[in-house]
Amino acid sequence: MVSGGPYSTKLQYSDGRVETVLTPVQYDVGTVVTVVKKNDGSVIVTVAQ
Amino acid sequence: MVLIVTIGGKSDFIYTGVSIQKSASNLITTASISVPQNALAYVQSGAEVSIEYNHRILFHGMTTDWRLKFSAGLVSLDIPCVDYSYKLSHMAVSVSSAVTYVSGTVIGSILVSLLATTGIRTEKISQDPSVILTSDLVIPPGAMLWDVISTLCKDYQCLFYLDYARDITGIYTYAIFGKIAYVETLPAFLETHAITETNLVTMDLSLNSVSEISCTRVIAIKDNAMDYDIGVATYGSAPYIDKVVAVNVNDSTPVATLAQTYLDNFRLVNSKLGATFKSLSISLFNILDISGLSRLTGDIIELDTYRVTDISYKVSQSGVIVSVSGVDPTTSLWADEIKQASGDMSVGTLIKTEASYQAEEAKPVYAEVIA
Repeated sequence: MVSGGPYSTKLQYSDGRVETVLTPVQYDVGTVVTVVKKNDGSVIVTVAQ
Repeated sequence: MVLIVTIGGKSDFIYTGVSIQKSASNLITTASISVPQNALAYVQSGAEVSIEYNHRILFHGMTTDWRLKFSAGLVSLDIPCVDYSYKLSHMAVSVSSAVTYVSGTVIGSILVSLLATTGIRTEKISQDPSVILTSDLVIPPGAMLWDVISTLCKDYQCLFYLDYARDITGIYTYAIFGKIAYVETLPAFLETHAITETNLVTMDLSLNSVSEISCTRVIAIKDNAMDYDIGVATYGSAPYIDKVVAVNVNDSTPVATLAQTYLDNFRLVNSKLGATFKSLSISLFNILDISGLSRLTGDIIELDTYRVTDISYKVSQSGVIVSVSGVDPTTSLWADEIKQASGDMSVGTLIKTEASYQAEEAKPVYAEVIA
């Protein structure tokens, strides 16, 4: 995980959908993350524990 | 009064009460039947039920459960029923693997395929070759039919509902799906009932203006991974009452056009009709023409036709009482927000809807970083 973004992170959901979001840190490919979409349009991405 | 109630193939019950609830804002139609005898032999869970009034099929579905009572020396059996929409919300599209429909597939053909095992007929599903998937549709395992259909309706501005009819094989349920331009050509949308002061018993009729929820500006937001495309439509002058609508990211319609469509529709449902009649045989989406009620409408009511968006039938031995609510017939009823607005539009309902929407949006989901 590298900070200093924003980085363009491409995500694939379990149902197959693919989405690109901007994140403040860079994640390694293969990292499983939790995505929360807020009603104001912002997206929160955190590493799944 | 010709009312035929059929339960499990038997239609000579003496009933003490029948009621039906049907609304455009909620796909599920329910009915409740009371009979003064132990008729359990015909009322096993899942038995087929139909209710017909003056040759109009008001309900076709199945029994869900029952309650047998003994009170004041009398036996009675209450039978709640639900139509085939129950199957849509309780049948998964796939159990073990995701199902993919590729971009370009005609959406009508997807609907036909989804409904194949439900017993719901599909000949009234529009196969419009211009209404096609703009991106691949991936249905994850465990997704219910209704969730998929509801998403397709919203994303492609189509209307879906169930209706009932009879042919030589008996009474059946069929699905209607398509753009408003298609649905408006169907008989249910064209049938008009003229209400005058003398042609039937109008128990009450009222027109409501629901200004507290009216909106004068729609902000439509297309969120493509935080790259926002925003369309704004306004009515009148500032300050505005805003409504924010998230639109499908794959919709190629200009977002400003979508905003205008939403605004037009929201404003159309700002005037509602509520009425109760005796012995009126009417279906959902029929039109009520109240221009004959000249003492009510006078000169200043511009709108004198209303599309029926909610119906409640109550049948007893003394007659059939039907309560309806209606909105402007030109309202396009494809968006959940508009259907909600056409139905029970109390402030409480709105808050509840917004709250459930927010909760849904904020639900965390897992994803894998792929690049």
